[in-house]
Amino acid sequence: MRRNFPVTRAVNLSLLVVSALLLAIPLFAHHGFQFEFDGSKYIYITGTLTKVEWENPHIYFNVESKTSPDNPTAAAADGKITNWRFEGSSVSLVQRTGTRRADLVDYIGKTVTVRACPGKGDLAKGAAETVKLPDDREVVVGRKRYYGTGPVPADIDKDPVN
Amino acid sequence: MAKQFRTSFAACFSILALSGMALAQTYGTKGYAPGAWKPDELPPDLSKPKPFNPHDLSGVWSMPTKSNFERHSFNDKRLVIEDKSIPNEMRAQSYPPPMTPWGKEKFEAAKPSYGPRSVAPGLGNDLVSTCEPMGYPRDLWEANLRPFEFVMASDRVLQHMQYHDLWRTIWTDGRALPTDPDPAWNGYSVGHWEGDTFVVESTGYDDRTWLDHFGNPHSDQMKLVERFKRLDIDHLQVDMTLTDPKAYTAPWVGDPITFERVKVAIFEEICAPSEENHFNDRVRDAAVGTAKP
Repeated sequence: MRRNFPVTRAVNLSLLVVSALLLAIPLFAHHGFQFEFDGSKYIYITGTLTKVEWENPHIYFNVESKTSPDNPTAAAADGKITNWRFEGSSVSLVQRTGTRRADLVDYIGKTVTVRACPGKGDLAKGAAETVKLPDDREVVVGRKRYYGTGPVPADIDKDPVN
Repeated sequence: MAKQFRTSFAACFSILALSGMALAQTYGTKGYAPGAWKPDELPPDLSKPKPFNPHDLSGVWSMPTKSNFERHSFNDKRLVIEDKSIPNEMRAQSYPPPMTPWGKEKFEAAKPSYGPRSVAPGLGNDLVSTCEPMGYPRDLWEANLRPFEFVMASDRVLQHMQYHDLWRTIWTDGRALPTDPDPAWNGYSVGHWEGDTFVVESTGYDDRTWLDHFGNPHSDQMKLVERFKRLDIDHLQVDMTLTDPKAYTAPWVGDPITFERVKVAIFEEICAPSEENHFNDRVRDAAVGTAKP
């Protein structure tokens, strides 16, 4: 019986590893959100809005910023510009919050600040919730992305339908 | 410690102040948001409801997302998952009746990206990912995010689904269901009034679609009975029962759904294959390393 212990332990360990792997795999957002983005964190990226793609199932826009994906809480020390790509929600969901295509397109070339959940793997991308425009308006570009435990902005649970 | 607290407080206050500004300066969350038209371009009192008539189902209806829980099937419940990084919409599981061997085989072949059997969308086979029809009743579960409207006509009721800009025809001219119809993505539906309840019976569904986001199956033998009741101006209830002896050994009785009337118009939401492919290349396939170069 004693002899079997290592085998049992090996089996248990294998089961543990398999279970851990299974637990790590099972849940993905329909559009792969959890695979792509870290919903437990916020980043605020300030830079020049360079491109807007107003399409389904998600809108996209690009922001050139001195903030590096390696340390998204600080501007890059060497002043290097990073081209960030953000995705928002579907066109109709964004429209429903009152945000129009012109709210982004009219500000191409201007400085904006994006609130987003960062991409996984230090990539220069994010799942965006809001964009602060140069005229101080903050427009909604995505539904709730944040699932963390920290303080959340007041607009986070806003139902985009109502 | 006090300094840390002051910093945190200031950060929270700034975030709240910025957010308040956002709410004050958008118009979609209050009143009528018709999309292309700005509020001052519209006639006044557009959102004023008509007098209540229980036999008039017209209106734009949405499924409220209670406590951030999105309904995606006849009955589904929120899973308790400690990991805060799991998105809310993933915390759900459906509870179908026992499946027949045929149903089970179809279920096993489905690779959804919702619920406990999820795979990354790039590795799945959900028809949603390629703009294929979702079929009814799955179209209805989209009403979490994409409302539908009822349009009353003299000989039919039209159910206009925002997603795919889809029109479901429910005939009310007295015809019976077809006896041996060719399968159709959205089936065939007839409706009649029993008191103040609008009873819709449907059949003739194409079995390529899933019932819901979880990959639960149905066959071409599926029969669906929906009982719609307008409770008041702002609420519409539906009870649904599915009978499909080829796929399930017992009827699937859904939990009642109460839709809320929303003061928004149906927006255009076409699933354009070119846009969807763009998204597949960028996100779904890229996430699993199968994107085309």
